[in-house]
Amino acid sequence: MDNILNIIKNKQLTHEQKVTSLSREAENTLDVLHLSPEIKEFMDKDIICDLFEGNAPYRPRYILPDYEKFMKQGSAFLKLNAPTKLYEAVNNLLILYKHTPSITNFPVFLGEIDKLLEPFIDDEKEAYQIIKLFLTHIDRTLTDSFVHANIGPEQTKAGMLILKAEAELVNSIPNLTLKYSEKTSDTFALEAIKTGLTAAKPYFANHNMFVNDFGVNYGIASCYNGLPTGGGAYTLSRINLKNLSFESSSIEDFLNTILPKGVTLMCEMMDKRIQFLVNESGFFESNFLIEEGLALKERFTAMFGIHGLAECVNHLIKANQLKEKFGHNKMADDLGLQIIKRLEKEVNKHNNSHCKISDNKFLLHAQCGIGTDVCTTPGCRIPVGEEPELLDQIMQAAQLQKYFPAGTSDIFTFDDMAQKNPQFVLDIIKGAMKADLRMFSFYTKNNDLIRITGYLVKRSEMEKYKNGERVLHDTVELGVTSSESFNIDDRKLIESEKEKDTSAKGCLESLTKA
Amino acid sequence: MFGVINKSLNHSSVDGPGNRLVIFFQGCNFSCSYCHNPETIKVCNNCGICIAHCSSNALSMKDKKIVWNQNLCVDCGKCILVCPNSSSPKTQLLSVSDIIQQIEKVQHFISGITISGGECTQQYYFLKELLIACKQQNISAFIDTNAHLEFEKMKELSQYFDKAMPDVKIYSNHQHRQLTGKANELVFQNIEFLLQAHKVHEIRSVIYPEFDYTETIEKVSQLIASYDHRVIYKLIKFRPHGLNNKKSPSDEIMLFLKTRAEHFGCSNIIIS
Repeated sequence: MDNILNIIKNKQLTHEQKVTSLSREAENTLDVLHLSPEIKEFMDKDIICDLFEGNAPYRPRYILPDYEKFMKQGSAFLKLNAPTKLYEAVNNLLILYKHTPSITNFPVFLGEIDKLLEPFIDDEKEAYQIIKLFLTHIDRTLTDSFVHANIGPEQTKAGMLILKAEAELVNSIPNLTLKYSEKTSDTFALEAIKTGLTAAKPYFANHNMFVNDFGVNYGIASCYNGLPTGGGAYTLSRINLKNLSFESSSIEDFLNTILPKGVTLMCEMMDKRIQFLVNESGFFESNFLIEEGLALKERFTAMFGIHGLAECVNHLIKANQLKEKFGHNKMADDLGLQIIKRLEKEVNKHNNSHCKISDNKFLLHAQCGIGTDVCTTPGCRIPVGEEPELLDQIMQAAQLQKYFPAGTSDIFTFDDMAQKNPQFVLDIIKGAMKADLRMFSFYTKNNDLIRITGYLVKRSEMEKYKNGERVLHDTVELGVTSSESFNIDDRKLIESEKEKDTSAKGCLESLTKA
Repeated sequence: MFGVINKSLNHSSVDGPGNRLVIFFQGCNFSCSYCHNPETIKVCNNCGICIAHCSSNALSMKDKKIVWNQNLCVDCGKCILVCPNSSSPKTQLLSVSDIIQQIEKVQHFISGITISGGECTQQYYFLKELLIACKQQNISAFIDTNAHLEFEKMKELSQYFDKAMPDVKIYSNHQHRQLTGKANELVFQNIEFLLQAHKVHEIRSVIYPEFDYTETIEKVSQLIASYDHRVIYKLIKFRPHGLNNKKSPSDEIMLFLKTRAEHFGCSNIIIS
């Protein structure tokens, strides 16, 4: 009860943030999942984590409505007809967004907004103004950085206007992904890069890889999660590979005993969550999205998350020096790959009949961390500050990213010079996509708006929050704790020319300074 | 044939369009007082003085030649600091096929390569061979040059590179001698020829606080405008480094120079 009163009296929370926190407290008074002592033990040791999904799941964690269908049929429940003009289209979408549940109570997927709006774009000047209002409305009312829109792969008038508007507005919401493939024109990609170097978005998603995994009907939701559209994910739990490795006595013990045990326990927990949500919560019998066919139970799956691979590998091989560590040493990288391959094998041994869309399997997800994670690197990334040379980092990440259809990403930080040469960034992205990197995200180091782990927050907003002020977006708090835990300002900078100044210039500088 | 290579970078955003692999040749015929990489000016004469100063045992002498062990080197820079010849023992002898292999490893990530230095045209025959190999492999190759090369040689070379990025250190011949030790007639003759042949991607001038660049900006901008106003004129701010701690020119000066360049007909000016 103390918690509840603390929430009520908290002067730093907005009204909406209080309501969300209070509902979470209410849910957590229940115990309907009846988790086994073994699972609870692993949860207490911070090996398995339910990522604050609550004790009684009453809506899928991530829903990706079929917006295309919605644009064609409108909605009987929302009393909306199919739109005929741009302002109607935008208005209908904004209404549906506010009725799409998720773990955060905000919609985690806004649709392929360029394709949705393109048929209504006539007068580009007027369209630009409407799109700016649409995006501003999203930023000010869907106040959570996991709200995510998609564009591409093809260049459209709407897509170009959205990128232009994002560069002008520099809003942290929505998160944005460009589905990138050979169908994406260089003009469109370069516009996206210019926007990215100003507004830290969009992501570049490897469209061909996602199509291979899901078919064309997929979306990128929340942080960077690939999921079927017209469906989504019931749940996402994660396993902390670093802490799991502490349970093992050797590499063999980890691979053959401890990892399979961790997978079995987490799958058991996920099964229980899905069972309650599907069979007892009533969501699939009562929500209008299901009734109107905007989401189908058959298109839901579940996400098996991991994090801390780098620390897990470094612990197992007892690496202390940088040259022995994950990201810098072939043996370490090979072990990382071996762990992920074994993880995939173990996860695929498990079946859940509610996940038809993914052949009854759970999909792997490289989880990007929460504010309280300390010294545990998101997903399969190389720890911040230890990143190797750019192309080595990309090649290393690409080897692992293919195992994670339900989401993974690496973040690259550029200096100001990249803004003068967007083709520089495009060349790197093209190479990365050819190397099978799944998700590429980037920002300019000195900008206000930056990517923390998988979401965007403004440095200026974090400063306000640190000074005790209220802030509109609930992810600012997460940004404050995460940017400190992950030392994000130490993220390796991709400098215009010098990877590492091994010439006399840099050496002289360091010697003369010393 | 081998080239003496100071180093190469897998990616650069400031050495031509897109991402480029950059190869720095050792050796330069200018000795600019503000040179950022003075250790690239002279080729190592194998005197061996640096060996005793290397605390990580990365340098040794074999058959009267310095051997540099890259794996042991910790890049402390002492060898360069103690070199009486202002050179570096950390160079490599590479063949054209060594370099082509290096390019192939990163070819999906780059728009092309840029050969820089030192002064790449100092190793004229090796450079020519490398450029021909790039052409055969369809690799876009730019050269970053001080353009102080015999006119006939530059003409010959221009058949093999895609674009050049020549420097104009300063317009006044007197000041040019003072700054680089060489006159600049040849530089302008070559640049004019390259402009005429559509072989110039950009012209570069480092703005050094000791000189007035008003005249240089005027002349170079007029020259660019008389051939193709879209050719980039890059004005590079001098940045204090190593032992040269003169102040960078102010943003106001850089903007003033940019405005002058525009006034004289340049349309594509980059301040870097």
